[in-house]
Amino acid sequence: MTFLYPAALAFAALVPVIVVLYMLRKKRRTVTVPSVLLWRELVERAPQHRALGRIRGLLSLLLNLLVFLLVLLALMRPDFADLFTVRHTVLVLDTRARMQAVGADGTSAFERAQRIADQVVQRAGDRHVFAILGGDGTTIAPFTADARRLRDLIAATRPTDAGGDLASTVNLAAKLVRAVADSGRLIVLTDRPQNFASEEGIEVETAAVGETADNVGIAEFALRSAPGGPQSLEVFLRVENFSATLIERDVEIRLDGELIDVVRARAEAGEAFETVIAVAAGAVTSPRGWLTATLTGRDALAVDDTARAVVPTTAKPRVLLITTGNWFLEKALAADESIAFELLGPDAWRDGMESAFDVVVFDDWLPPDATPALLERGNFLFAGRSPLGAEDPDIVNPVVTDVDARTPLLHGIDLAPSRVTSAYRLDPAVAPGRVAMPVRSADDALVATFQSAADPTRRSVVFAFRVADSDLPLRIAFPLLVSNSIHWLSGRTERGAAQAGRIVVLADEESLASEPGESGENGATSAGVMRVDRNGFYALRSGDATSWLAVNTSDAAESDLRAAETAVNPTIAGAAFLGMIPWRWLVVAALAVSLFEWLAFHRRWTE
Amino acid sequence: MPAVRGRHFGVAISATRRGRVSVVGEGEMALNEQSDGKGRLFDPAFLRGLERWRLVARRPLAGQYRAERRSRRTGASQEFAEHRNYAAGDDPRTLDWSAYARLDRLFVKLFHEEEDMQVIVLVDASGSMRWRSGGERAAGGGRSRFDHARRLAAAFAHVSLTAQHQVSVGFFTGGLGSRLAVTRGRSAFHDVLRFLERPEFDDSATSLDAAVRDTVAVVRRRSLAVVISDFLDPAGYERALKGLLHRRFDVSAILVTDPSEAGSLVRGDVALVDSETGEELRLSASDTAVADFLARQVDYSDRLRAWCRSQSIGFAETSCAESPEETLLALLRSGVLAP
Repeated sequence: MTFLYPAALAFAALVPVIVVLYMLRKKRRTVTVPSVLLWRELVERAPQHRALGRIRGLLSLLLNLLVFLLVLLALMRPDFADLFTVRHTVLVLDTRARMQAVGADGTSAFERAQRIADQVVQRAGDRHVFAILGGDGTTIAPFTADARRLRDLIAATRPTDAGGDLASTVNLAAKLVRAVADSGRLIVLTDRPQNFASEEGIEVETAAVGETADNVGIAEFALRSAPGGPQSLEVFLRVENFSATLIERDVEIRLDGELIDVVRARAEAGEAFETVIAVAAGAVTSPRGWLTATLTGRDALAVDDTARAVVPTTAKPRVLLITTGNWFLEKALAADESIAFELLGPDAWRDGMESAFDVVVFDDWLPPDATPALLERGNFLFAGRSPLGAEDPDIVNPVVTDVDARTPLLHGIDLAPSRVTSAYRLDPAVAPGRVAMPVRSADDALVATFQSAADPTRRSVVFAFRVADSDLPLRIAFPLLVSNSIHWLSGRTERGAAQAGRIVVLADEESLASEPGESGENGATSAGVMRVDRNGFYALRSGDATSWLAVNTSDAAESDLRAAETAVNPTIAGAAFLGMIPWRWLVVAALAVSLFEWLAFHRRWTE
Repeated sequence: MPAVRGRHFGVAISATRRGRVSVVGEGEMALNEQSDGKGRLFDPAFLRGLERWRLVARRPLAGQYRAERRSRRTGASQEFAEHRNYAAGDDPRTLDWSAYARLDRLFVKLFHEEEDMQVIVLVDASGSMRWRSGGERAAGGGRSRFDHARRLAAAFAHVSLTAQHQVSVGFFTGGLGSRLAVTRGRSAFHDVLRFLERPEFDDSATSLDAAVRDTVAVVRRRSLAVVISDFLDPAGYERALKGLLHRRFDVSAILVTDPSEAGSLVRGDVALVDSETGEELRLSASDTAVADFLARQVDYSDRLRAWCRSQSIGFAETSCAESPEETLLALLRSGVLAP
C-alpha cells in the first residue's frame, strides 16, 4: 500500500483541535439538586456510573477521532493497487507545447505534471512498475521499478514545442501495458483531460494540471518567392487571438536579428490577423537568412510568440542546360537571377557531370546510355525526350485535362490554356510509385515528376513535349514553370521550414543539428530521419554547404488555452479497490462512523 | 369517643369535634400566601381537615395542666380507666353502683387523668427542603418540601392547640433558628401561622444533631418532638434523634419527599450541585444511574423507617405533592395522628 499524498498527514496537527472541540461539546450541564448525599453514595457504591461516563465519553472521542482518521487517510489517497500483485502503470506525461503555458502561480502546467508524476513514483511501493511516455508517444522510460531512475528521467524531461495527438499516445500506453500484463493503469497528466477510450482491465486516470488562459500566437509564418520574381520574397503572417478580448500587439520582423519591419496585429476575440509582407530582393543579404517574427508583450504561452522562416541565401543552385539550341529555354534560365546557369552542347556531356550541378536540363536529348537508373543519380529536367518516355512523340495535340494545383511546379501558373502539338507518351511503370503526373491529358502525362524512394532529394521533372511543340514559350507561365521546376529540383524550397514534431528525412551526405542553434554544434544526426521537437533554426549540412531549417509550433490547438481545465489541487485518486477508489471507501466509512456517532450522541449512548 | 389505639399509646388526647377552625378572616390572605406569592400555604380546606384529628404520644409524658391528652395517671376525666375495691376514705361519688347491684361488692371507678402535653415541632429549613423543581430553590416550580413541612407544622400546631396542649415551633438548618416560644390556647394558632409564614433561619447546611442540641437546651420539659425534614444530613440522623430519645422526648419523624426531584434529573454528563453546600459532584447520569438513584431514595426512606421503628420513633413519609387529605392519611397510617 502506498499513499499518493502523504503531505496530507500534516492535517494530523488538527487532532488537538478536535479534542478541544470535543471537550467543549462535552461541557457538563450543571444541575442543582436538593442534596448530593445519595448521589455520592451511589457513585461510591457503583463507581461504574462515573467510570462508564468516562468510557462512554472516551468512546465518543474515539469515534470522532476515527472519523478524522478516516478523512485524513482519504486525503492521503491510499493506493492498494500493489498490495497483492505487481502493478503496471504507464505515466503519460503530456509534453506538448501547450504544457509550457504558465499559470497564475508562475509555474507551468508541465511543471505541475512533473511534480505529480514524481510524487506518484516516489510513493509507489516496491511492487509497482512504471513506464513513462511523452505526450507525443515517445518513450521516456520503459517499464522499471527503479524509482530513482524514473524520478531522474521525469526531472530531465522537458516539454516539446510540438503538438500531437494525446489519444494516440494513451492508446499506445494501453498497448504497452497489455504487452506485459493483463491489467494495469494509465495515469495521464495533461492540461486538457478528455475521455480516453479504455480497454478492459486498463484503468485510465487523468489528472488535470492546466489552467485556462488567454493567449495570442503566430499561427503561420510562411515565406515564398514573389510571383513577380523568385528573387523577391513575400512573408505571410497570421496571428490568432485565443482570448476573450480584442488584442493589439506589435509583431517585429527581424532578419538575422536586424529589425526590418514592425507590424501592428489587431484581432478581435477568437479572430485572426493576417498580412503579407514584401521583402525586397536587395534586403536579402543576410548570411544565414534567419527571418523571425516576434510578438511583443507577454502571454501565457511563449512558445508561439515567435515564428521563424529561412530566406534562401545559400549559393545559387547550379543549373546545366544540355541543348542543341533552344532560345526560349536559354532565355528563361538566364533570366532567373536566383540560379547559376551554364550551357553545354550534347557533345560536351560526360557521365558524372550531374554530380557537379544541382540541376541538369536535357533539352530533347538524352545521353546515349540513358536509362531510368539515370534518375537516381541527380536532379534532372527533361524537356521532350526522357527516360520515362517513348522514343518518338506519338501523342498528337494533347489537351490539358487535369492539373494538380498543389504541386509546387505550378505555383502561380495556369497551364490549362496552353496548346501542345505533340507529346511523348510517358510510362510511369518504369518507376512505380515514384512518378506523379501533375499535368495530364486524359490518361497521359504532359508534366511528370519523379522522386527517388531511396533519396527523396533525387528528383526529376519531365515535360513530355518539346518546348517548341507548344505555345508555352509565348506565355508568362513558361519562365515560372521553369523556375518553379528548377527550385523544386534543387530542393531549396522544401527544407526552409518545418512544423515542430515533424520528421525530417536526411540524405546520405546530409546531417541535421539535433538542437536548434546558431552553430549547430550540439550534435547532429546523419542519414535517416529526425524528429524536430524544438522551435528554432537547425543547421542542415550537406557536404560543405550549410543551410537552415526553421521549426515552428504553428498549431492552433496548442496555442488555444481556453479549453484547458483548471484543477487547483490536481489529484491522483489511485487504483480502484473492491470496485471503488480507496479514498471514496474511506469517505463512506467516515460518513458511516459519523452517522453512528451522531446517533449515539443523540441517543445518549456515549454519555 | 374513639377507642384507644394500641397499648403503647401511653396517653392520648380525647377525640373532640369542636367545630371548624375559623381561619378565614381579615388579613388572612397575607398569612396564607406562600412565600413566593403563588397560592396559599394554609388553605381553608386543609385547616378544616385538621379538626377531626388528634395528636398521639407514644411515651407517657407528664403534663402541667388539664387537657385533652389522656394521662397515665387516673384523674377526673370522663374516660373510664379501671375498677378497684373500695377502701375506707374513698369518695363515695366514685362508687360504681351498678357493679354493686350486680356483684354485691363495692367497687370504685377510676378515670384517666387528662393532662396537657408540650409539642415541639421542628421544621427543617435547609436548602434541600427549600429546593424546587426547576433548579432554583426559592423561585418558581411547585410546592417545596419546606412549604409542605410548614403546612404539616401548622397541622400539628392546630391539633395540639385545639387539645389544649402547649406548642412550640422552630426552624432549623445548621442549628436551631427562630423558634416560636411555647404557647397555648386556640387563639395562639394565628401566632403559629404568622410565625410559619415568616421563617427566619440562617442558610447553613443541615445539622440535625446541632438543631437537637439547641432544642433540648431550651426545652427542659419532656415533650412530643415532631421533626419534619428530608433527613438528608451528611452527619446522619441517628445521633440527633437518639439525643431526643435520651432526653425522654416522644419523637415523631416526618420524612418529606419531593417527587418532582426525580423528574428534574437530566441525563448525560452532569455536574450536580448541592443546594445546601454548593458541593459539585460530576457523574454520568444514564437511565440506569437515575434508576439506581431513585431506588436509593426508596432505600433511604425504608432504612429511616426501619430505624425509627427500632427506636420506637413514630415515622411518617409524606410527599409535598400530596393533597392535604393524603398527607393526613399518611400521618394516620404512621400513628402520629389518630382520628
